Amino acid sequence: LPGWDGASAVPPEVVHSPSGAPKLEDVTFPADIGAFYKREMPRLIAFVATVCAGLDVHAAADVAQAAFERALPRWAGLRDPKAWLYRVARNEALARARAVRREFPADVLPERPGEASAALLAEMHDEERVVVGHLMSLPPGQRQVMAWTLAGFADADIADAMGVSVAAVRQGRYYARKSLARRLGSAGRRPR
Amino acid sequence: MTWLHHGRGSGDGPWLDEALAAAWDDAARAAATVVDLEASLDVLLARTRQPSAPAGDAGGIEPDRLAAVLTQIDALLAAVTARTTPSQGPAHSVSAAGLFAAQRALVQLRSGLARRAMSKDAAVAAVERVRHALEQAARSLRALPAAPPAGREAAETADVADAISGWLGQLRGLQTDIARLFDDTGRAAGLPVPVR
Repeated sequence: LPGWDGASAVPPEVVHSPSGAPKLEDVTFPADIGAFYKREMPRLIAFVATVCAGLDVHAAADVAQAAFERALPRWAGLRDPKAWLYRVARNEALARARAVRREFPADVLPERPGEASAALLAEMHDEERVVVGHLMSLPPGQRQVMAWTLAGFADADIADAMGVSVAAVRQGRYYARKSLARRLGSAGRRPR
Repeated sequence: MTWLHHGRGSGDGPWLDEALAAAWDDAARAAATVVDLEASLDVLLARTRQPSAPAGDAGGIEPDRLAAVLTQIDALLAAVTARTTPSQGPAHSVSAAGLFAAQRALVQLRSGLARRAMSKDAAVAAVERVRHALEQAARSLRALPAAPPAGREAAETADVADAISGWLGQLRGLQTDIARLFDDTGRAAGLPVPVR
């Protein structure tokens, strides 16, 4: 994506919050946190695995759980808990990828376009596996835009999270969709 | 869903939206099969309610450390596994037994830490097994008959020896990080519980 230079590992709420996290004894969980967790945790794992294509599904689950653990004490003060959660998870995933990149040679880099967690793909249905395979093979910027979009976020939120303009988000999605349509269409895999 | 509206005017049909939506739902369903959601939620709530966070702990520091350790193990595992492919040459063949033993110990270490089922002593012992196996592989390489210095076999031997040397260095850092993981927290970190 034009103008995207990565993002800090910690979301702005963590860096700039004057009061930081509340004391743990003051934490009151939202009544529906269990339902939210069970609904959103698998989607967050899929999101992390898509954003950082080299992470396997277990590492993606670790990242997603860590994001929940960071979010929960702050839940009541978050304007949009879901957006905060996804942003923390995305930044944590990219930070882990950068950390591995520093420690290990290029042949084991976690971010290799085209890779997808074999464990995740193995559990998927045939047609959906093809679609996710093509999604994973998109360039990182386009793949991220698609992951945010599929997770249900609006363009302005995606632009804010990725540190790019709304126009760049739309452009990234345009090219991603064009590429996916071509690949899926040419493979004769127009579902339903 | 919001994303359904994004594609309008982009030239591709609703079939793509349907395909993507179905794939996303299926990916989430697949992700749900690898994590025990009930148990992981219990871990999450228990950890968040735990009142004995040490000074300076704003919540979530220990899981990050464990996640970082697991990332190191995953990368080391990937690197070792890449060298265990058969038919790469004599240096790979003679070091294979040691590399397989290292691979096995790394898998046990990873699994034990991720499931919070491994004590500090057990984790340190697992790291020692990895070290022992890698050193055994290095010794096997040194026992190979000398090959012509400019030949392919000498280059392969040097390449494998360099890789093992690098892994042993990374293992020292990993051992320190694992020890700090337990020393600094006094409790296991809160990662999701895998489906058994």
